[in-house]
Amino acid sequence: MDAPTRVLMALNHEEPDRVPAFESAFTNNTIMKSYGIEPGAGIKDGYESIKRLPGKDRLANMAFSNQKWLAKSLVDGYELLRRVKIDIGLSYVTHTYRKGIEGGYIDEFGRIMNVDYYEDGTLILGYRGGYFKSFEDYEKWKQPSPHEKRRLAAFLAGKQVQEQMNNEILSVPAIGGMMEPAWEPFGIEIFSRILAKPKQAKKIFDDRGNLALELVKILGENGAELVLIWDDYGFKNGLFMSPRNFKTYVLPWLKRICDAAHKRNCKILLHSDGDLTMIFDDIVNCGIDAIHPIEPTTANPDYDIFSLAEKYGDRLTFVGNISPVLLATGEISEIREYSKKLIREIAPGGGYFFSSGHSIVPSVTLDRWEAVMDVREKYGSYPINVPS
Amino acid sequence: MSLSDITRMTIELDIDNIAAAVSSQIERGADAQDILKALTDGMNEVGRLYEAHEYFLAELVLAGETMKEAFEVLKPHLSSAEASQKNQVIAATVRGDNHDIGKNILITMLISGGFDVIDLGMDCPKEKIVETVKESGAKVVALSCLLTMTINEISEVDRALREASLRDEVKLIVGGAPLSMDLAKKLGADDFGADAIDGVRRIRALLEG
Repeated sequence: MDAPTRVLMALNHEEPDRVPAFESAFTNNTIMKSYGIEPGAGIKDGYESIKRLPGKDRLANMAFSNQKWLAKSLVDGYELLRRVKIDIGLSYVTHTYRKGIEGGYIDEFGRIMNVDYYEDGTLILGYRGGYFKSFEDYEKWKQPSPHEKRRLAAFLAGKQVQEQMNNEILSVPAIGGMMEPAWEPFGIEIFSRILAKPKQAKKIFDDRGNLALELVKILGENGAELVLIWDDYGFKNGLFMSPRNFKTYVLPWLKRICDAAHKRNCKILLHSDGDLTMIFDDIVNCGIDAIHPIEPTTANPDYDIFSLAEKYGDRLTFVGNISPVLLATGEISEIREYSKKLIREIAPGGGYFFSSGHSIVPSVTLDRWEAVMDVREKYGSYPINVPS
Repeated sequence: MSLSDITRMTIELDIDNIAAAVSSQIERGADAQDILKALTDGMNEVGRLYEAHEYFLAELVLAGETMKEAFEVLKPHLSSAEASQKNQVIAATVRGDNHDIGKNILITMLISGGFDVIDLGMDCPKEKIVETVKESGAKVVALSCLLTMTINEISEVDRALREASLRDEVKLIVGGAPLSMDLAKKLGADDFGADAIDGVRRIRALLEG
């Protein structure tokens, strides 16, 4: 069975040949090398080769609109995913480079990003802060448009690599959502001031919502089967803002996005960290098809993938959620038991993708990753039969 | 306009008018300590509302911003003697980590709770923490850590404090997304703050204990 069929069957709550696997990012040179892929290609090479050049912004922006270059930058990453039998590779339709600065760049939303390297050389893109100091700064900024050439180029590049790999990977376009691209370009302190001014807040959320909605329409019309919406509605201790604010500014857009996707035979996978308990029902009612990752390290023990799957499992696909802390520092036996429990309790009947509780970060060790792989290999085939 | 209005404005997150209100109180001869207490009472109520899920992160941060506006006006009127009598806390985000939301909220809550905070910023090397403990004599180091790949920096700070023979002099409390009490203890910390409000409560207990 190929990856698109496997993923879509699981999303339709049917049992494919095996449980699909997903990672929102795989940034770990040590593991990459152990699977025979020499790190350094892709984004890292692209960034390093242009960062000192005059006219680097123009060059970078040209590269991000060039399907051939974009496809080349995806090949190594997708090849790694293929070798570790992860079914979904992402193509990055938003969050792209706008302007280079010392040690990093400003992305198209106005987020200042750090380019750093972990001790094993893994490139780490990290949010450093917001570029805008006021709403007026935001208004002066050229807002990202859904119709830029780079959008479709990124999506088609992913599909090109998917085809090259004989559909062993399903390429899924990833776009920014409403919450994170709204606050991060300001930083939380300035954004909290803006949130107290409803007209300004509405303008920003509407800009983000409109971008996401139009992109989903474009991607759906060009054959995307699934779109990942990158967002973060919460954090360890709860929501970034009140449920009332989510219902005013964010969730109406999420509903419109899901409706637009479904009309085009496309599904929506929402990524959001944090404890979402207070709005989980509302999120589900917007019509999302899948959610990642049900953060396993929140402060709320009741925010639990197993009980949520019991309640919503008939209409929602769960994607997750082995704790990244466990994958970095935990006992192998604990990792194996938790992985087995995920497959045993959530995978039967479809509606589940096996995944970590965020991504494979550089601190995940090879032996722990191999334990995860081993559980997936041994117990991930349908019909599910995982001993207690 | 009275001191209770200052408290009310803090609770209502009236960031646009708090500075003028504090200024007006000073002009009318109110004692700076009484104004500080009015602000602190307001922040305590904000903390309660946050824990009751009536306020959320954005409101907590806005309360901090409101306090900053008030402090801009009030600070020159607080004597240095009053400041030095406060309990000192060193706050930092560990090396390799450039996230400071949690740390900054903690700092605002600590200041409004009467603590004197030395903010060492983000991506802070252990050497700088050790040096600051030596120089200041602070009794608590509060470390923030968001990234899984930087949690071992907590152990590094613990080790560096031990090597400098300072570990018995100072308590180490940590907070951040990947952490829990168990993990914090495993990494060498004395305590774990689940959020900024809990952090202030625990820092107070560490200093009293």
